[in-house]
Amino acid sequence: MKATNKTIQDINVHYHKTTQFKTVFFSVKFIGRFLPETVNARALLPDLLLSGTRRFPSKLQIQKELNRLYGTDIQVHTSKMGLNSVISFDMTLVNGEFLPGKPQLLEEAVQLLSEVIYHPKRIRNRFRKNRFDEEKRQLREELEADYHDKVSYAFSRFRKQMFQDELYRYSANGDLESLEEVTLERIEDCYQTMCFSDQVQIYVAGDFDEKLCDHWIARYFFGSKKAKISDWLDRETRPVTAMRDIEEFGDLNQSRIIVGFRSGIESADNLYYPMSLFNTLLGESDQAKLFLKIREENQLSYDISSVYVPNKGVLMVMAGVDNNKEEETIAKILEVIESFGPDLVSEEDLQLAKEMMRKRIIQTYDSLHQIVQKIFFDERIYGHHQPLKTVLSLIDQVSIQEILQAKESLILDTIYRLRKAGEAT
Amino acid sequence: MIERTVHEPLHETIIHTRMRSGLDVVALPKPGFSRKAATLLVPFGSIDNMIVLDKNNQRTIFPEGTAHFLEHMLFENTQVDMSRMFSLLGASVNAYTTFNRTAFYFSTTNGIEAPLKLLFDMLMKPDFSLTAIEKERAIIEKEIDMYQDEVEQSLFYDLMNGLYWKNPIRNDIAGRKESLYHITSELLQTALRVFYHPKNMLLVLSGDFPIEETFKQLEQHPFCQKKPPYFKYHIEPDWEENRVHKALKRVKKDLRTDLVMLGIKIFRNRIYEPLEAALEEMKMMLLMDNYLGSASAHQEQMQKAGLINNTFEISVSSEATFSHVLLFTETKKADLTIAKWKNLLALIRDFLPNEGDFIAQKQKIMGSFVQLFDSVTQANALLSDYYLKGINLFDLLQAVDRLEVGDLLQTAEILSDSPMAIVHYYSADSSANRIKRVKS
Repeated sequence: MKATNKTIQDINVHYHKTTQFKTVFFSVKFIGRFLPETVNARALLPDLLLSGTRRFPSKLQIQKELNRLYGTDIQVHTSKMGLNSVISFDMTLVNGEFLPGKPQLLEEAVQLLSEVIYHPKRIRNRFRKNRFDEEKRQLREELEADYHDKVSYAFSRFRKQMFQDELYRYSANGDLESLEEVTLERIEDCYQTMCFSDQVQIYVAGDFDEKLCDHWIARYFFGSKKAKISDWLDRETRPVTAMRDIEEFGDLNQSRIIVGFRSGIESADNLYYPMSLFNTLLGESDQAKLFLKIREENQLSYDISSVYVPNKGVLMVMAGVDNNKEEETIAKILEVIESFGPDLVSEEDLQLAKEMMRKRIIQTYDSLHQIVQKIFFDERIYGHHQPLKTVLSLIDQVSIQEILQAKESLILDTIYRLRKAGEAT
Repeated sequence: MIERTVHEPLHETIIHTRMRSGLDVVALPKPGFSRKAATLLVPFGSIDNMIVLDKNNQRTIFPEGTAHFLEHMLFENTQVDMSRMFSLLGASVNAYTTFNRTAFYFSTTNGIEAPLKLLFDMLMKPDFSLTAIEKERAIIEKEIDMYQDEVEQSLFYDLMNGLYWKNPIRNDIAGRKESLYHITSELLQTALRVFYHPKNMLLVLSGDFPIEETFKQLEQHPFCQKKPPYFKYHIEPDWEENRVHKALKRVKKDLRTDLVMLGIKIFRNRIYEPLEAALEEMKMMLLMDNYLGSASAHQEQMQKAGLINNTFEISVSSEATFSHVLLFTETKKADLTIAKWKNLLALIRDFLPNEGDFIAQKQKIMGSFVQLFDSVTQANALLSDYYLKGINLFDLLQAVDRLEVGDLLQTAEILSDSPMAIVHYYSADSSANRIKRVKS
C-alpha cells in the first residue's frame, strides 16, 4: 500500500496504490455549503449530469458505453457531512489485466466520467428542459416512496421534529416539501457553483499508473481557487428544557418507536471511541443489551437497535413493537440505559464490543470504496489519514469509566411513536 | 484428495475437497484480505415442503415455515447463547433461509477454524424441547408481523399466488402464524436427519488463511468424520398447468405511489437439472435485459412517458420445478404501465438484440463477475449460489460466453407464449381507485 497526496490544477488528489484488488476505484467529490435552499438542486444535479453527455446524449447511450467498458459502474450521490454538502461521482471499473485480451479501460473510463461532469448535453448552453423534468419526477417519486418503508418513514418524521430548527432535519437525498421550488435556473446556478466554487477532491485507489493518472486528471478535470469549506462537524443543537413527546398514526401492523438523545460527543472528541463503544454495547449487535433485554428476555420487539451519529453528536434507539406495547418498551429502553453500568456490563462484554469495533475497522481495508471513505473522513476530521495501528490502540485503551462518562452526556430529547391508525374508530 | 483449479485470466483458484462424512468443502484463497468468511449450506428451503424417502416410499410433509423454524432452532440452545460463543471467538454469525436453502454463515478477522468447529458442534446437538420450540415460535411470530409491513415483500407473495396454483414458492418463507403450531419436535428431527446430512451439505470458505492446514484440522471433527445413516430422498412435484391462478389482483394500500409487479410463468412439467436451469436463467436475463434493461430503447421510452421510474427492475428465476420472469416498478400511471408491458411482451417474439449490444452486454456480465471477487463475502455468496447446486461457476460463464444472439430466439418465443399474472397495489388517490369506485 502506498499513499500520495498532491495538488493538480487546484484539485486535491489522493492516490492509494495497492495490488490486492481486481478493480480500480476513481472518485470525484465536489464540496460546497449545505443550505436548505439548495438541498434539492444538489440532490438532483448529479443525476441530471448522468442523463446525457455531448458524445453520449442519452442515459441509454451512456449505459451502452459503460457496458462496453466491461460493466464500469458510475454511482452518484449527494451527502451531508457536518455543514457541507458533498456530491460524489464514484466509478468502479475492472482492471483489464483480469479480462480476456487484457483491454486497457482506465483512460476511456476517466474520460467518460469527466464528460459526464463537464460536458453534459446542453442546448444553447442550458440543460434540456425535458431531461430536467424527468429527473425531477424521478426524485419526487423516490422521495414519496419513502412513505412505503415504515422504518425509514418513521425515521424521517422523527428527524423533522427532533431537529426542527437545525440543518440536520434535511436529508441530502432531497426534500419533498420544497421540491417544486427547484427550477431549471436554480439547477444552472447550482451547476456553476459546483464547477467553479466547490472544492474538488479526487481519490484513485487500486493498481494504476500514477504518472498517467496525473496526466489524465490535469487534462480532464479542474478545481477552484476560491473554494470555501464549512465546519465538518454539525454542532447545531438546542437547549433541552422539555422533552418532546410525539405520537403519529399510519397504516401499519407494528408500531415504530424512536427515542432520540443529544450527546454532543462528536468525531473529534476525546470521548468519541468510548461513545462508539457505548453504542455497540447498547444496541449495535446481537450481544447488545437492548437486544438481550427487550427481544430475548421480554420479547417486546423483533428488531431493536441503536445508532450513534458522530458528525452530529446524537444517539437514537429504534424499534418495531406490538400495538399497545409502545410505552412498556420505551420504559424498558430507558431503564436499560439508566442501569447501564458495571453491574450490567461485564469485562467480557466490553472485550466483545471492542473486538467487534476492531473487526469493523480492520475490514475497511478490504474494500477500495471503504478505504477511500475512511481516508476522506479522517482527513476532514483529523487532518490526516489515521493509521490502523493508532485507531486500534485508541479502542484498546478505552475503559468502562470512560464509557460511563460518555453515557452521562446523553440528554433525552424526543420520544417518537408511529402507531396504527383507526383502532378506536 | 484436494483438487485445485486455477482460472485465468481472472487469476483465482478454487480448492475443493470432500470430508470422510461426505461434506463437500470449496475454498477461495483471497491473499491480503483481513476478512475470512464461511457459509455452511443446507439444501432445505421453504419450497422443500414434501419429500419421499427412496427406500420405503414414505412421504413427509413439512408445515409452511419449517426450514426457517429449524434454522432458528439450531441457534437456540437453552444452555448457551450461540451468538455469544461465536463473538467470543471474534466471529459474527448469522443465518438465513430462502426458498431453496438454509445457510449459516460467519465472518471473522481472527482464525477461521475455531468458529467452524463451533458451527459443526451447534448442528450436532440441537435442543428441540417444547420450551425451546415455544420460545422460538414467539420470536418468529414477531418476525412475521414485521414482514407484513414490508409492502414489496407482500407484493411478491401476492404475485407468486397469482402465478401458481400449488407450487410451494407461493408460501412465505417464515410460514404463517397458524402453520408454526404444526411444527413438532419430530418433524424437526426428520428434517435434520434428511437435509442436514453432511453428504447433502456444502461448506464455502474464502479469505486469507492456510487452506490445506484448515482442511486437516476440520477433518478431525466428528461432523467431518462420522457417517450418520443417509436417507436418499426425492421430490414428486405437483405439476402446474400452463395457466396462471389469478391473472390480476388489485389491492388498495396505504401508498403514495402505486406498485406493480408482473410475472411470466414458464411452463414446467419435469424437473430441470441445475445447469440446464442456470443456462435458461442466463438466457432469459440476457434477453430481458436487452429488451427492457437500462441500455434499451424500450426502457428509455417508458421512462420518458413516466410509466416507470428508477425502481424498475427485471428479475428472472429458473429452478428445478418452476421458472418465471418478473417486472416491478413504482408508478403514477399503473394502468398505462400494465398495458405497455403486456404489449411489449406480446412483441418480444420478434425481438433479437443487435450483435454489438449483445457483445457489450456479455462484456458487462464478465466485468461484473470480476468485481465480485474483490469482496471476500460477495465471492463467498457467489460460490455458495452455484456450488450448492453442483454447478461449476466457471463452466457456466464459459457457456454464457459462447452464447450467440440466435440462441435467444427460442427463449423469446417461450416468453411471448407464456401466461402472465399481475398484482397492482394502488394508493388511495390513484386512477385504479377511481375506476373501482365507478364500478361499485
